[in-house]
Amino acid sequence: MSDDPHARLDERLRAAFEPGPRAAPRIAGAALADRAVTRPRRWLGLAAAAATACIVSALVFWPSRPLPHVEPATAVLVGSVSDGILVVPLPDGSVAITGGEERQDRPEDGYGLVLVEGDLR
Amino acid sequence: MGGQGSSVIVDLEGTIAELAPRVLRYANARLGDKALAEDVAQESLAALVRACRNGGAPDSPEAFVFAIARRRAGRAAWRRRLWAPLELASGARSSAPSPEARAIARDESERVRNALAHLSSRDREAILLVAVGGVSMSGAASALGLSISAVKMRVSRARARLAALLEERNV
Repeated sequence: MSDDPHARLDERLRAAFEPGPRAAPRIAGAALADRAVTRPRRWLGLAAAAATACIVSALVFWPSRPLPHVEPATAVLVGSVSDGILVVPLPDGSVAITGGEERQDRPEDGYGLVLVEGDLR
Repeated sequence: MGGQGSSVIVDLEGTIAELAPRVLRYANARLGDKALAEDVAQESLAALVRACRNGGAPDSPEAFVFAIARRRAGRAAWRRRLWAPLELASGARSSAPSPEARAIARDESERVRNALAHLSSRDREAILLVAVGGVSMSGAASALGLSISAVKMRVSRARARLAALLEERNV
């Protein structure tokens, strides 16, 4: 080692960043062969991983996404039956609920209690 | 003619073999990432090979290669900063060597790198080319687009500051 402090410092710098013994001949050979860098590019791998993650998450989470939740509610609605057709005014308009296909399946005219099951929107 | 052609190839091989460890060391110091450093060094040397084979051999192969390495290392560092959050998120960085192996292998280089980080970017670039890459003053001047005296001044200032920093930390 030299006594020159500059030379000692330079040697220390070179030693700190010395490449492995096989690295330099390998890159020299590859450069002379003018090969493209064969090692897969890191950013390509990352881009592929990101795209795959997006597709997988879309496939997994989209079908199982929560559907718009409808709160069950009870309501008392008053309507009338005319010629077997039940007409019940709803808060957002009128809904006609028909009776059965046959006349005898339809309820009698008048007032009564009708149990309706379904979503109120 | 054939003999002349083969002597050019022999010279080129010798030049590449001589430059390879130096440019690799420089890229290593610039980037602190062996894989990236190899990419940068190989691309810089391949550019010289292409230039020579296309009949455009530069006057100073050393200055040519290091100017390209310097530019590519800058781009690689920029790209790495851009991708760092995504790499961290995807766990790509966890495939690095174990902390123990890294500590043993890079202890000294990390110390020197930390000291280098305290230099101005202009002084750091000059000392990396001259001291780490072994580039001549004229080659460094050409690669940096400066006069030789300006490079000498930067290298001298960087050496003094670096020596003081390393001394100060008692390492």
